[in-house]
Amino acid sequence: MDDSSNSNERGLPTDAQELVDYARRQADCSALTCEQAAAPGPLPDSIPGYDLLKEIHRGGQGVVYEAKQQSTRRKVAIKVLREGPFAGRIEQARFERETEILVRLKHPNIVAVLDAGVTAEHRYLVMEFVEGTALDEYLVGGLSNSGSRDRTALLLRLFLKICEALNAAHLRGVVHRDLKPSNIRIDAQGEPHVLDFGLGRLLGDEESSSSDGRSLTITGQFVGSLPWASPEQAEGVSDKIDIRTDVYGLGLILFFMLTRRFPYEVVGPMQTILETIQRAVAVRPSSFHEEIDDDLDTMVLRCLSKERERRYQSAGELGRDVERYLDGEPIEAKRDSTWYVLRKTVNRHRGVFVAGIALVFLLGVGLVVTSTLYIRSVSAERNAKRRLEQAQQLAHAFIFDLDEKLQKGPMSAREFYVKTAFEYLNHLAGEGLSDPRLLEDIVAAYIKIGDVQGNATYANRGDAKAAMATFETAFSIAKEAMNRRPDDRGLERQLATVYERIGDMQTYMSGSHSEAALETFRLCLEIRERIARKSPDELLSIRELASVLNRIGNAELEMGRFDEALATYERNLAMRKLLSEREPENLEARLSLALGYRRIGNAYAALERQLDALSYLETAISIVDEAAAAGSETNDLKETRLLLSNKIAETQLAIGNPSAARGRAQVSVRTAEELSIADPDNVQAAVNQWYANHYLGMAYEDLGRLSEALVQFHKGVEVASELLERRPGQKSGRHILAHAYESLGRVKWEAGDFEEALINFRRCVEIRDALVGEDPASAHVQEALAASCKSLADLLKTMGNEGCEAEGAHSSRRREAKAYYVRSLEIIQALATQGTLSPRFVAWPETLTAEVREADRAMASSGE
Amino acid sequence: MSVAEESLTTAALAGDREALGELLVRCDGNLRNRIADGIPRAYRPALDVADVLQVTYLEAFLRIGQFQPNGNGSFIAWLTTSAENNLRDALRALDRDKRPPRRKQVASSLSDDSYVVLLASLAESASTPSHCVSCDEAKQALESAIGKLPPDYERVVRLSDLQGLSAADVAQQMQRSVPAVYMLKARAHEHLVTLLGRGSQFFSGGFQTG
Repeated sequence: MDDSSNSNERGLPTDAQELVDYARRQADCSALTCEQAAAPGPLPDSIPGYDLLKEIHRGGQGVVYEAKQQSTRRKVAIKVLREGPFAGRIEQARFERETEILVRLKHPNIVAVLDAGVTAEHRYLVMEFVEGTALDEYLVGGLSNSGSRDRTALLLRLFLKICEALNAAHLRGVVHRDLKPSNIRIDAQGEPHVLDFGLGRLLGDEESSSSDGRSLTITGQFVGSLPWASPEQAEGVSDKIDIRTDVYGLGLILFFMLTRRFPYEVVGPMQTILETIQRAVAVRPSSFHEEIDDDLDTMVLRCLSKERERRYQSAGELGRDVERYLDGEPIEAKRDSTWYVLRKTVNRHRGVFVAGIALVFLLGVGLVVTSTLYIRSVSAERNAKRRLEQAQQLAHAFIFDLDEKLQKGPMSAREFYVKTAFEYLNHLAGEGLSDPRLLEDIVAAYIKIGDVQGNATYANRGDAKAAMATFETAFSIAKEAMNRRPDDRGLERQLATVYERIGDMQTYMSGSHSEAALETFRLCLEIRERIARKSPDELLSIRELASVLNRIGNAELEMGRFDEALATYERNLAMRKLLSEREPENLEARLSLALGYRRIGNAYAALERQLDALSYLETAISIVDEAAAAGSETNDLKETRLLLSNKIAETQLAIGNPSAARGRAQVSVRTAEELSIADPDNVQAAVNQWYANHYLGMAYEDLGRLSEALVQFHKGVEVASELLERRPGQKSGRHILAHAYESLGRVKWEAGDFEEALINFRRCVEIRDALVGEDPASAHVQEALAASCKSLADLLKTMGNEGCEAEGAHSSRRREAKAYYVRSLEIIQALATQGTLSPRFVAWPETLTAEVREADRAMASSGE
Repeated sequence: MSVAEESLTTAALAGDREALGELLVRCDGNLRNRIADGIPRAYRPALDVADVLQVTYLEAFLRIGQFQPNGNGSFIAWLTTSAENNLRDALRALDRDKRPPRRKQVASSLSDDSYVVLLASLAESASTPSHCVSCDEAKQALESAIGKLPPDYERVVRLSDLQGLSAADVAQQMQRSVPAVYMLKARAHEHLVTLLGRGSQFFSGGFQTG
């Protein structure tokens, strides 16, 4: 017992006994004291309509009896709250919730609720009585006669049913939250029955989260069975608990079923176990049993990921992978691995695969042989013509027929085909051929290769320089061919496309739209309008015209010509509507229409007409949702939804609705992660993922939920850094990274972590400094640098004024703050003089001048 | 767990408040040292260990029913977690005045009615306006819940949330430190959410804040 002095300076008792007595008096005055657990009360003598036979289980919430229903004479299980009328509010509310949830759940593998009620003394719940054993007991006795291979298959079929039961609950918005083998009973027929949804709660019911989402305010309470808890339960953040918590629980159960062990140590003090659950990496089940293969390991470990986002996203998704595994198909958890899919495919369809390889080989050999023959037989014109046709057909087969698969397929496959095709095309293009159709195909093939190499508007490998070089090759071939045949529509069309791609690359490589890119797009527009005038009903012409209008609108928007952008986008939307009406079943046309609405939304947002913007954006996302409801969720659809959710989140933030923004941004993060998993090399998906994390971080920041904001901004830095690792030096990646550091620094500051904030702000300034050096003419980049200098100065000023550092450090902070204010002021004044300063910075010269003066005064008064 | 500690814990869980009090007194020395070590030097003039312990002990009386014994040392571990969380809230409060300028001011569509603002702050995680209730109805529910809080919690809510006094003013009126006010307020909000519970859908899913 501590024997410190009796009171502190505010008169608060400091003596241990007095403190405890004071706390007790406070608690005694509260209605909340009834939350205390009382001693187990007297057990009920009877429940009307039922004969209690015997007690079969005692749990945290109550006692379960075996009973007989008097009217039907059937055996039932009755769960009675232990404390009866003295139960606390929380216990009672929990009991009512359990009742309500269970009544709604009807599934052959979920224990059915038959009745519920309150007697004078007790609340009770009547449930189906399941004869049988708990899963853990069943694992010891029930499968003892099976061989190892059969045993695994039997276990997985059993597990699949458990997944289906959970999935049914999830579809009703119910999370179990307390999955463990003792809550799963296996009946005489070997059917599993999931018990005790007592801790389940309706999704979205945030009743137990604290007012500002702080996990820190949970006073060490742990709801659930400790060893079976998920990392988010161990962390004690109730609003992180969702269906993925059950996926984690299912992972633990599957691990246990396969190995009869836990994936980490669960023995020791509670705090240690909680930390283990949150941090320890699960071992592979195969480390206990060699016969467990890589697929099973993968499925279990995916469930047991500490990050919810990396787990299966539902019990249904997990169940589907278990089914695939049982059927010998590739599991989804590994779909991003080319060799894995190939291996599985070969195993299942060995004959077909071999034939496919042979076809590709023959095509490749055929191309080489045919082109060689063609070149060598210039003297034999007839033969040459026939072989030219063959070369064209083969080029089509190789480049275009495979194109669809290449675009959707894994990056490594794309790379292989593109490399081979590129060698062939270079060879063919170097032969001075003049046939316009062949040249048109060659240009088209170069465009496709360039797209895959580094066109940011496609799934690409991030090699922008190579892409630009390829597009320039295509341009010179097309231009030369057009000189010889100025009226050839096919070549004209290809030339327009090349202009479009070069404009894309000019934009991408400079990190922002430029006059040069806009000019290139306008050259493209001229050609496209000419083609459309010649054939006004041709859908392709309309589609191509709409496409270049999008690009022009984007450039105008980014260059601050908002009204022009709005007009261009409206022209684009009119064409998208026409295309969608002509082809109502065409998913791409629907998605393009949605993007047409989105672009107008963007223009309105730029004009600060946020409500108009929201209206267009909501229309756009409703088109996407309709398309999703009508067909499957393709990656294109997901990408469109991601773009829209991001923009809506941004707009909701702008109008001060962070709750709605959070909801949208969460959709974005989920979608972005799915896309990123599906194609980890896709640079555009990574950029969109960064935006998604960024907006979610901002939403949390505005909601005051700083720890959650920090998680998102950290993730943003991670995504941006990975992006830069893949494309070192690329400007847009560096812009994003600077932004990510700035956001992280701001929230660190808000959370009171000045030193970390300072580090992040300095990193931001450093990156922007370099970007200004590379692109000194860009007002946009200079304004960003001025803004980050000012943020850094503000932070340094605060640190210089605070009492948490030594006095010597204060003056240094103040001097540095002044230097950054001066730097920011100089940039802004220079831009104002040039007439390129954005309206939002107009008041800055005055503000910054005042800061510099104040810094001078502060330094003078402290004798610096 | 010693036999004496085990029997005290059992009795405390069974509702014996004397036993709980004795357990708390026994843990006080260790807890006091732990919390004292956790207060950075720069914050010591503003934050006393007793501030943190007092809220921690009150929480222990209010929430002993949620403690799950799990062998030797589990009670002190539970209590320490609670105290450390309280300490972190208090330190955060001290940093509150050093916040950066907001990225942007979030416009609020709420009226300045303090009950509504409090409701909104309790329900800030709501995302759908499915069960919007009238302000009067909400006020009644809230007033009733506030009346059931322990006196310190009730007072901090009335002074800070309903009367809109600054933390410093509330601290002065309650003769507590500013960090203690933030701790009390955080705990009070937590209990309000618990008290209002599921019966009040506007807290869990319906009150739109923006």
